[in-house]
Amino acid sequence: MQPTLRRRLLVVLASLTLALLLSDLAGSGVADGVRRAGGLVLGPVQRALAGAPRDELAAVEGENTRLRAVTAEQQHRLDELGRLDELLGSSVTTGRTLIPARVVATHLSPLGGRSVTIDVGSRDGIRADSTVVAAEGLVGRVVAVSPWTSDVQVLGSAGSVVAVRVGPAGTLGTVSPSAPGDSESRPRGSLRLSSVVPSTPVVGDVVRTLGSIDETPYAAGIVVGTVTAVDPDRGQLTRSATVRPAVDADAIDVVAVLVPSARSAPRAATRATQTAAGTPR
Amino acid sequence: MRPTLLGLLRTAYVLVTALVVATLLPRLGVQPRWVPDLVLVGVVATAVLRGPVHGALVGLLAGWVVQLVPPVGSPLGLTPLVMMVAGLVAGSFRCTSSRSRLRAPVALLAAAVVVLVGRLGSAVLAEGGVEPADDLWRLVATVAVGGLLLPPLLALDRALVRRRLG
Repeated sequence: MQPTLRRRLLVVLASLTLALLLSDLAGSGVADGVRRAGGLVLGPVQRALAGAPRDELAAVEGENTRLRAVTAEQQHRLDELGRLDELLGSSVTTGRTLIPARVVATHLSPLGGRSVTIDVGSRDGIRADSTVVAAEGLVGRVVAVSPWTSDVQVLGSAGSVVAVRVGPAGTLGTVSPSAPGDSESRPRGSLRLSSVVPSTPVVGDVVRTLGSIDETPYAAGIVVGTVTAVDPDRGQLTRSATVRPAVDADAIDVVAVLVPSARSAPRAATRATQTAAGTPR
Repeated sequence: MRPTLLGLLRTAYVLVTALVVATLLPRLGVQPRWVPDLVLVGVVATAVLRGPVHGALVGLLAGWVVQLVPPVGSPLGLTPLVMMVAGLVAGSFRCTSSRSRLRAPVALLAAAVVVLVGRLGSAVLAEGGVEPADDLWRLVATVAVGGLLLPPLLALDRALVRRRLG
């Protein structure tokens, strides 16, 4: 190739790249198309390389994880059921459907924080903004879907904010990564909990997701983590605290994607009754 | 421009190493801080033999491969531009008269520093999170692996050019 031609090619390609970078920063849809193309072409190769095995052992392992997730789910539902039972005397629960998946690649971006790729995609019924959970609790949400793989934004990535309920009382708050402007120093990998209402979180409180409409992007009642330290009172209106995530972001392997299920049946009105013991049932 | 054996080998090297770095090494339990930037080693091996413009072009294309291996990074196009600058810097170490063994590793060190500065700079500008210590270890791992990998790569490149396959 001629040197001048090569120089011209370099300039053209560099300008194209710069244009794509700017359009992505501006939030244009072109960049998403490029992303999907990358996943479409290279996703199957990654699945093969990561040895997503189809043998008996892997099937049993996957089944095991699914069952453990179901057990955790059932336990939580039992707790919730008990509380609701106490309050009203009856309850309405909705079933939750899971798609098990394996992590096939991880990426630490300087801007977006940590994201992982899982080996299920739109052909398996995954849609963007689905909740991703592990057996221990919340992992994150699906941000991009290609036919065979999907990219997951892990809890604690820059820009991921989760609405939560804290402790047994269910105080409202938000969990976000500790930003550079944060006044407190937090251990690596832990998150910042800011209360919405004036209340003080207690060390040891379990933090669960508040849930969104139609369970996207976050389903309700999934464990996010535990409060490990409460920031000192500096006269601010609401208190903030440090939360240790339930899922270790460095060791995510088998996860499950929740299939959002909108409630279709109307909830029946119930009547609270007082028992002889004086405790509402 | 017709496809040559050297060109095919170079493309295969970039594709395979990009997939290995993103998929296979984390799968085998290698800590992220010890994963060397093997693609950068390949770019530097080409750049020190052919000069800044060729190095920048190869760096840009290799950067696109790295960028498009899922999970696709969030600012699309940043990695190719940083790799282009790294290739440009590595290419400026070309010197046809001297055959010092240290030139290629030094060019790799300079290119790795460019990548490191690109990561830190973009993190500062966009208020992202980055672990400077991990990135420094990664640079050390890259230069260490590159010191072993560069001489055979350069020898292969020279041998193919001599046999008119490049």
